[in-house]
Amino acid sequence: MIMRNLRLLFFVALSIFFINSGVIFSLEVLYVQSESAKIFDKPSFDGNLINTVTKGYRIDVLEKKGNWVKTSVNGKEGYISSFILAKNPPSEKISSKKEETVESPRKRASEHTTAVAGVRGLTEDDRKRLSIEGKVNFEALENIENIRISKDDIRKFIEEGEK
Amino acid sequence: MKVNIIIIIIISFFIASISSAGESYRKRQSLAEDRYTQSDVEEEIRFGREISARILGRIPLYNNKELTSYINLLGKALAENCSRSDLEFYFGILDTEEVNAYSAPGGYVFVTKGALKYVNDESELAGILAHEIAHITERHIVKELNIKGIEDDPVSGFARFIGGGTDVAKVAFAQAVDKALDILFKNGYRRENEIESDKIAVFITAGTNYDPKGLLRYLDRISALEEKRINVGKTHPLYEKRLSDLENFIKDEVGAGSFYKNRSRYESIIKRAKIK
Repeated sequence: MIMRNLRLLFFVALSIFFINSGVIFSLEVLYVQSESAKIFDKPSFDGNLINTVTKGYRIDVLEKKGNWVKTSVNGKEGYISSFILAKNPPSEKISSKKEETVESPRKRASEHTTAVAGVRGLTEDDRKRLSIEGKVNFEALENIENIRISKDDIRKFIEEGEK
Repeated sequence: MKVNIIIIIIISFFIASISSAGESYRKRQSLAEDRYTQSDVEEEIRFGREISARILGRIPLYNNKELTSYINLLGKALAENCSRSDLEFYFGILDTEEVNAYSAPGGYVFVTKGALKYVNDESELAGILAHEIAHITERHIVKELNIKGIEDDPVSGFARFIGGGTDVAKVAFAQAVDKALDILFKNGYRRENEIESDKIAVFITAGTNYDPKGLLRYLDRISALEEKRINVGKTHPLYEKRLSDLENFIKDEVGAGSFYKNRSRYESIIKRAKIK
């Protein structure tokens, strides 16, 4: 009777261990981080394109081969680059436009009183001084940041190049 | 009998929960390694802007509207195939004869006018830009200098020193920017960072349908320049080993594919900009 109970105890504990550790039921899950990602029928760009997935798509990892991950999409197995996959779903785009190049006096004052301030960078005075000394050039930086290019512009650019 | 079974099941759950707790802890630790909060990314961008403004304080922008627009179209097309869709990428041309390219955290990429003279087609330029994008996606400077947002870890790392607007904070921030500039202009990235960026770059270029061997051809040309002791910058590791490793990597993992070089478009834009 004791042996029977011990066997049962061992069996139940082992089952729960495997379920929890994911050995039996769970696959590794990764998420597409790039805007889009190609899936090929072999682990190479030589392969035939079998699907294209977009940012945030959930990838169930069947196998890893070099820098490629084998997965299944719509019942078809294929390979996707591991360089554009991560354990966590991707974040929304965070633009530098939210950052103030020249910070307002109100904001600067709050920096001195807020305990949870982060990397505040240089103050307006610091930047002016450095600009005069020719050490920083935020104006040139903003010229680049203000260039407007849409997804449609990018698509046209790629298509025209491939003609 | 029933009581016995219930006791056994309770004990079993207890034993299994110990292993489960251990697994859960390991999982949390592992995820923490590559988890970045919005606050981290915001600080990364802020830090990268300061570094970029310093780069532009040293070397002026090459002001050519068509060429700047072209390099941004190409760069942003490549960026669509990289792992940092949380960032907006910006591309600029530096007005210097030095042959080099730079990137700053948060999405800022610069290539010199001198480098463009040694580029023969669009796929080669794509390779250069993708290599710099990879330094950003892999957070090579961010990790080296431990740049973090304040929300995650208010008592450690970079944030501890520079949180707030005190003089100490400003000095710490300026020192971190100086260290980043030393990496870019003096010491270079770690060798393993360069190798990693090469590998990711050929995946990005191939993913955008550009010939991944473009980066290889450009690096090969630049290595010939170095042999002639012309200043090519000091941020790249030994070329011979780097080139052979990259060639093997392309052969093994990227493949031949049907890629584009777009030589004629590059040549006509460079000609109009009077670069060559």
